[in-house]
Amino acid sequence: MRAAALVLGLLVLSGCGGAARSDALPHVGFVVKHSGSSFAQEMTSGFHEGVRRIGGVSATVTGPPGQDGHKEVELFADLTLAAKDGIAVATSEPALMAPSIGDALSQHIAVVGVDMRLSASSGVKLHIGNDNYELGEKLADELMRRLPPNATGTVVLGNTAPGLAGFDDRADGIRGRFAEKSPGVLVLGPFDTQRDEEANLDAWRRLVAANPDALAFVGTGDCDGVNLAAMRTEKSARWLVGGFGVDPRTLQAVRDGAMVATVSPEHYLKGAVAGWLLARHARSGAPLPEGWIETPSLTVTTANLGQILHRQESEEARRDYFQPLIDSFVEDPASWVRPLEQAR
Amino acid sequence: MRLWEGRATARVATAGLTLGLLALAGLALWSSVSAQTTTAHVRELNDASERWSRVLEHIDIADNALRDLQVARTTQTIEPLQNSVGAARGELEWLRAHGQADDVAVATRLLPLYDQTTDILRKVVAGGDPLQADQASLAHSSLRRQISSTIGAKRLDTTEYLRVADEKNSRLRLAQIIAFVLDAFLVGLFGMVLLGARRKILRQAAKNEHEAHHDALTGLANRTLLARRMETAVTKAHRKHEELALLIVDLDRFKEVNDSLGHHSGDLLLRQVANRLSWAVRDTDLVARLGGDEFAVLLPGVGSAANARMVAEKILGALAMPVTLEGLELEIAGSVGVALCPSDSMDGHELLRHADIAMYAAKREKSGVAVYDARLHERGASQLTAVTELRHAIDRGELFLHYQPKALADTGAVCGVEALARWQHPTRGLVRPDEFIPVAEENGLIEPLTRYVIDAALRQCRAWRDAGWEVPVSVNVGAACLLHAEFPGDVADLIKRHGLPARLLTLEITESAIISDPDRAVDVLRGLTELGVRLSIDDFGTGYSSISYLRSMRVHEMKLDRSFVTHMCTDAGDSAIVHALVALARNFGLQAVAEGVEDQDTWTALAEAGCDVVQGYFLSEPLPAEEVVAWLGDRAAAHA
Repeated sequence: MRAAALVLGLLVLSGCGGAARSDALPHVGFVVKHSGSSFAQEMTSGFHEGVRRIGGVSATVTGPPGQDGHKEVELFADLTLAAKDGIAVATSEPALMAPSIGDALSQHIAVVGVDMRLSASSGVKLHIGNDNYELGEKLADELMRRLPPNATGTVVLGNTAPGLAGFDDRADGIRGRFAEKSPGVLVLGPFDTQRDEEANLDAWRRLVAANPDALAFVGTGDCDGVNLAAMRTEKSARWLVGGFGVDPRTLQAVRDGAMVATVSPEHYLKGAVAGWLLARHARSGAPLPEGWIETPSLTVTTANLGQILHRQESEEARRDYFQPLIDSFVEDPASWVRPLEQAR
Repeated sequence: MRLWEGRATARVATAGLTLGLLALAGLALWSSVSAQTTTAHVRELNDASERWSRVLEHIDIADNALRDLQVARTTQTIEPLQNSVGAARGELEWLRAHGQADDVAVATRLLPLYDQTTDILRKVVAGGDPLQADQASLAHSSLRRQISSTIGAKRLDTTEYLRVADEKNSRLRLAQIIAFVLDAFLVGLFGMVLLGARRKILRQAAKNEHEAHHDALTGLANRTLLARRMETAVTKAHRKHEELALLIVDLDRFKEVNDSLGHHSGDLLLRQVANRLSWAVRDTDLVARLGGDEFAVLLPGVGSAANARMVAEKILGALAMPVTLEGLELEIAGSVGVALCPSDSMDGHELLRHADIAMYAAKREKSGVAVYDARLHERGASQLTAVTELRHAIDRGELFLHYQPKALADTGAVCGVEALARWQHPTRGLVRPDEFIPVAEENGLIEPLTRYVIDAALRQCRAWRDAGWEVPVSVNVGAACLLHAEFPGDVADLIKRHGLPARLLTLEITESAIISDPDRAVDVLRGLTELGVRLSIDDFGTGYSSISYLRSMRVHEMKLDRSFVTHMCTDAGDSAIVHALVALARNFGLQAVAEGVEDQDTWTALAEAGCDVVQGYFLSEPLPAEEVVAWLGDRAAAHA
């Protein structure tokens, strides 16, 4: 079934943009979780853009279509045979992936962690990702702005992947911000709201039913916001909804007022940074930085929704939008690097 | 010297081994500490994992009870849920308080959710709201997944930690193996050094053993080894009834070679003699050097005295061949004494003494070889005793001088005295000069004896002078003294010590003393002349009577031998010789001194012949020093 694995790989030849793969070129790869999701597509596009910027390097991006940690591991192992010059990994199962990453490192294949932190035991020295705690704080801020001062009540918090470091951090950020800024508000959870969209919807239905007087419902995953917005519209409820990501349905919910805000992890930028660093490493042998490259996030509300909708309309628009940010990183990558221990 | 016998190698091996062992011990200690640290850390990780597992178990139990209650709400389903509510809190509290950093972080994050879940479960137990049960189930799921993730991470951390520890241990093991191999090499090197040192000690011991039993100059056995071999050989001879011979070989006139050609030549001669002795005997015989120019040859199983004598003759034959020393060809000879075992003695030391006595007999009789017999014993023993006693007599001042006056032949006025040595032996009484002077000459005692006599004569001369009598003294000088360049200096010191003018001392020398090494004798005589000492040729006419020496030597007087003088009045030949010698002396400007004048006629004849000075019993017998002054006084009164 390896052949059945969705290969998003685009063979990019810098400068000509051709699709013909040349074995003579340095080759890098990217394993993404849930390749059918919008965040995976964002990262993939960004990765290719980063590789393209260096030029002379071919790239393969691969990943399972759904939430399938074992497939991620299998695809990663396959990729180590082709992408000898470096592999980026955005996995949903860091612990499961760790031994395979260790094997790749022992073969002197450079490995970069993207989005979700890899476990320390994997031996990967570079992580490219957001400050997820801060993402949680930003969403909490948007929710609190829409609550009355000194509000009291309950905010129900869901987590699509409890135990996954980045998602736990987002949940902690939300809880921490409410505790700090709105001590009268009790944050319940985080409850396990499941990754699968149907299961997620079912979980939220039960949580909404159990907490009919809640002030707000918020989840750490992309599907949380989409499902909550749909339920809110369905029930004509008054509670607030917040979400993460720039899935079209999420942006639609913001536009419709069903969701007060969404915080975008800006996956495109993470992919671009990973692609650029790996391609540069593959092309010139430049050493990869060690530490945590913190990529910025973006809060999307009705205030900037139009701009983001335009950005998400096409590949070119995304490229144009992120061009200045990528340029800024390329000019001085070192200034973006923080100690790996601080990653959250 | 081999590499591992060198001191530097030993030091390097010792220092290297010390450092190597220290390194090995250090690595072992390090390894032990590292293993202990690893074990402790893994124990901590396991402990935390176990606690997380217990938390998970509590939550599973609570969730199962919750599901049971959701199916049917009865006392049997409520009670288990009630009992499980909050059961994991203790473990979580412990992890928050005592866990490692990541445990603390996770426990801190989970505790609020766990407490909320506990509240929800209490509501479920208290009431029948199924929605709260749903919510509790989702909370349990969240907790379970986070804890499972933590446990998984713990397991990975443990694996990774063990991997890193194993890598570190591998490096340590490699270092230990290297240190072990290095130490093994150093131990090997150290062993080689020890073996080398042992070999060196054994070689040195063998060398010491050889040096202790061999003569350094000739390489022959020494007296110690001879004694040891002789003891063995005597025992064997006694057991097998075989004749054993011991030969003592002594070189003739070796001292002259040593004195005239120097010690270096003497040493070369001894080496050649040693070689010749070794060639002359069988391999089973032993040649030893006893000291000086004395050698011994041990002949086991010689069979008979005749065979021993034959070997002795062979040795003499070997010695008789000319020896070339630094371009000079010398002829040497020796004397061999033979003693036999068991016929002469069964004791090694006694055998040696017997052979020695035989050798002295051979030397005395100039027979070359002498075989010991009991009759030789007494004479030989007395000879040996005499040498020892004479040496002691010189050292202890047992010798004293008598003085025989000399007078001018024409006026009869006393013109000096000749000092004559006497030996007052403690047991034998007065010993005559012709008995002990040859012993002194043969045994190297003539030089100290001559110095002793000059010193005593000058002391007496000084005493007479202080008493108002100026009496020149004549002293006979041993031939060996003329071969020593230091002799004039010694005489000068003695004259100076006694504060006398040198002219008061006349040294009487014999022609034979000059003949043995004329060049050196001439140098010594020149030195004496320059001191102002008078020189006299003693016994002129009995030896070479070399007129050329009279011309070249700066002597002052010629002393006519008593053998011509005593009978000159009755023997025309002696008279002619005396007249000729006196004429010769006058022609060379020498004072002629006639000794052995025993009557008035002889005196008168000598005076008529032109002899200057007379000496003899007619004038006076040799007198003790204390009688000389009285005699001089009487003589002066008689001539007044």
